[in-house]
Amino acid sequence: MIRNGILTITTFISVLLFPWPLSVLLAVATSFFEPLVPFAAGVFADTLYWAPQAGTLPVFTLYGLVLSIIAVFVRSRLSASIIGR
Amino acid sequence: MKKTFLAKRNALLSSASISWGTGALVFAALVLLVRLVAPNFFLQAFAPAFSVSNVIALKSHTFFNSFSDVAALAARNERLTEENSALASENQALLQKEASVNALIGASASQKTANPGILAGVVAHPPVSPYDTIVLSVGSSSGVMLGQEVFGEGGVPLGAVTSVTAEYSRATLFSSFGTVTHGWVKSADMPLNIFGAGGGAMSASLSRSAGVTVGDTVFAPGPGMLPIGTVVRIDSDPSAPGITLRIMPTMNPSSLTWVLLRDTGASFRSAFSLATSTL
Repeated sequence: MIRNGILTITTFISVLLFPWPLSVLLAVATSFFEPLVPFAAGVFADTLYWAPQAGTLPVFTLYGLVLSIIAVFVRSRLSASIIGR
Repeated sequence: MKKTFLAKRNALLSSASISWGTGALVFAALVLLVRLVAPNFFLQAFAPAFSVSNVIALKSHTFFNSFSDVAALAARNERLTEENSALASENQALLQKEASVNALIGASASQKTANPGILAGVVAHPPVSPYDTIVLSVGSSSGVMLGQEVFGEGGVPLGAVTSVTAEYSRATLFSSFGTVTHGWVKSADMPLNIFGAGGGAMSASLSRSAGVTVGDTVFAPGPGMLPIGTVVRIDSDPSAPGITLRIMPTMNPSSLTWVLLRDTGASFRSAFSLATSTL
């Protein structure tokens, strides 16, 4: 639980302070434990930096959502299987 | 007899069931709400963090560069120093020429400083701001308006102001993905549609017979011939009728610390796709 919290907070701090490739790596790593974090971090990144006038979609939100969906799917398959029992 | 204790739980919201991911999503939604409801307060709150992240990006770039070839870096540094000296002397010569021309035509001091522009500090720039937009430390209270053109050091056009709050504004750079700017390339005197490619780069398509070569300068509309970039590569597909120019900006958006905002007229505004949102 503490590990999840530390990873989540670190990802958000990274979105705020560090260049985006590092934040993406952290979000991917966190998704193994907290599947919603990539989507949340994507929304946060686009809230900070996306401008509607930039002429592009809020890609961080979209990619975060895709990553979260994949993470949820993978976790559900793993928990339904006999692996880990 | 053992007493069974059943904890009373809210079916919709239980502190035990809230994961870090859910909490993070709620936090992100709240920050989004603040940006939508109070964009000026939002930028006030996050401006210090943007400044810190700019410093971190600069320091990390310096750190990673230190692993590069030292001899090559020293040679490049020497070459850039020489170029800088040459440009400084050229600048001085042009200033003297301007002064003599002004003296000849009798332009007054007020005419010379009729449109000095608004000096703005850059709060966030790429790579911190990954969409090739910059956040500026001046807003409508300082006279900033939508559509004003953004100039870097040496009068290099960078983009346009696309949203304004009371104390802050956002400018979209020419290199922002999806942005289309009308310009021209000098050697061929050909008009171009310059497309932002993201990451500070731009591209344009042109007829194969235009005669554009690597190193040609690309210009944008504004007061005079204003270079916005240089052709660094030409992609030519034999099956396509045209060529694609890869354009690097004259000024690196990652090194911006201040810019000048000027209203250059309707011609520029029409040449740059603008929205009116205050986001």
